[in-house]
Amino acid sequence: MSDNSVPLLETQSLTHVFADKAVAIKNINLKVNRGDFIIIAGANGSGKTVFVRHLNGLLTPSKGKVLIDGVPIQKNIAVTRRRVGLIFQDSNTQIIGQTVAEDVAFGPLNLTLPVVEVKRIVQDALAAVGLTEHANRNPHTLSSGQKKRLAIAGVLAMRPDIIIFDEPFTGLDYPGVIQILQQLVDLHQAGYTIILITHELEKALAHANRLIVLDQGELVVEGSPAAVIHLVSEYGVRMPLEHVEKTSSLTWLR
Amino acid sequence: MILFHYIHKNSLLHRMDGRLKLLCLLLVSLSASFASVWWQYLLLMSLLIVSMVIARLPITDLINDLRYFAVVLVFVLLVNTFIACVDPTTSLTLKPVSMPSFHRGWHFAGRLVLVILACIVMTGTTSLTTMKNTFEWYLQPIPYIPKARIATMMSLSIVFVPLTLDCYTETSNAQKSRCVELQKNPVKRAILLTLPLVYRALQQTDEIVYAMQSRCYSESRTQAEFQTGKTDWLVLVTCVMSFLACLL
Ligand SMILES: Nc1ncnc2c1ncn2[C@@H]1O[C@H](COP(=O)(O)OP(=O)(O)O)[C@@H](O)[C@H]1O
Ligand SMILES: [Mg+2]
Repeated sequence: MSDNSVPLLETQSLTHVFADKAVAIKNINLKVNRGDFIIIAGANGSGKTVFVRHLNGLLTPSKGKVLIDGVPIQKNIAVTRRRVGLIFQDSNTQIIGQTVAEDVAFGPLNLTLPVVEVKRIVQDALAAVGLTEHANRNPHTLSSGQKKRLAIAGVLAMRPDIIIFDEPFTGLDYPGVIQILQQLVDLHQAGYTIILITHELEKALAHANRLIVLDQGELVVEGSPAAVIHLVSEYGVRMPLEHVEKTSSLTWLR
Repeated sequence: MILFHYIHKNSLLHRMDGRLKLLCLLLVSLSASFASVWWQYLLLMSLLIVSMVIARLPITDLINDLRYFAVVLVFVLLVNTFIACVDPTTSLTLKPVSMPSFHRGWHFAGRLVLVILACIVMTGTTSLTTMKNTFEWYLQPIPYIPKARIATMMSLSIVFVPLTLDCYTETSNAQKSRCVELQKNPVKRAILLTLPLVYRALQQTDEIVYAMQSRCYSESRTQAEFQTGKTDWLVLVTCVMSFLACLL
């Protein structure tokens, strides 16, 4: 356990300018504490994906930095990638293995863990997402919801501290959304720190302790859901229709 | 089309050590090229059919798919029967049908069938990952070869194939539903299909590389472990013996 005053993850004036001079994110300062459940909302193209891809060092900032336990992530990028798990929006491109089990094993094998241990880790991860019976299937034949859960298993197998979900509900049917949402809530309860990108606040806001809105690459809203919910509609995020004062009712669970 | 696809089963041949299996493939292919008498062909043929049965490969489906190769076989047969390549300095000459050349045609066709069947057994019982690990293992002792780099390239292509196939189906369906078939110029149609495919392929490569990186891909990974059972050696010995028989 690290010192409480040092956030688990922190970005300092994070800025990313693409080669074509497009400023994707601008001066983002954010502190993520252990046990947080943060929702990042924002219109399409507001920079959500670009932002989270800095958090495990997939993208390198043009300006600013990312700290994990107070240490710049560039100091040890492999450790950061293990600790910060990222579930991509498109599950298809995240499938590396020929079978479900092999796909989950990809990460642990990269960490050069011994084969016996990898087997155990894979079994645990598959059990955690309820895919044990599909271990030998071709992952490309799974349903969208199952592919999403496979991606989660692949990340769990790395024993991360933080799990980031990039728009996980897109393209899922109603039971699929419920299942992934339940998984998210369970993971949070199991002690993982969660960052969830979604603009469908009505589905999950009740579970979050912080809401952040990005607009054209800038962090424009940050605070507890109840305090800032009335601000979101200005930035292209649909204001949930129900009684806004009760953000705790904003969930698709139960 | 399931030809040359991996078909997951739990059989002796599926569990077999990939390194020995690759040796067996080599031996059978060599045997096929040395075979000259009918019983040698028969021996190899029965060996392959038995292994397909043992591996529980869907033989009827496979044979069904093989009909595309029938065209190639007939072509080989005809070329060998009617054309003699007497020596490389004179060009190909057409000659009257003779018994020996007809026989040679049959031999060529027979060998081709055997090699195709051997490849079907190999690909049907060996996952691409095992295949990759096997190649990697055989590359190990060779100096001056960037083994890790080659292994990465193999992994990437393995990941890429199903995605590109999906993408191909999607794109071609999308274009069909907008009546691309009315476009009679096949070259134009090919271009219409290829451009979006290449574009999507490039985009997806980026994503796959990100996906691999975010799960800590590096070129020093846990080495694959191979397990060699007694039956694996038995299969290899069988292949060696048939090879010797074909040398006779
Ligand atoms: N590889 C890239 N090259 C140039 N611009 C990019 C690239 N990736 C994203 N962008 C731009 O950055 C901005 C933010 O994109 P993104 O983070 O994907 O938005 P979203 O909030 O929908 O996830 C967009 O304007 C997008 O066009
Ligand atoms: Mg996005």
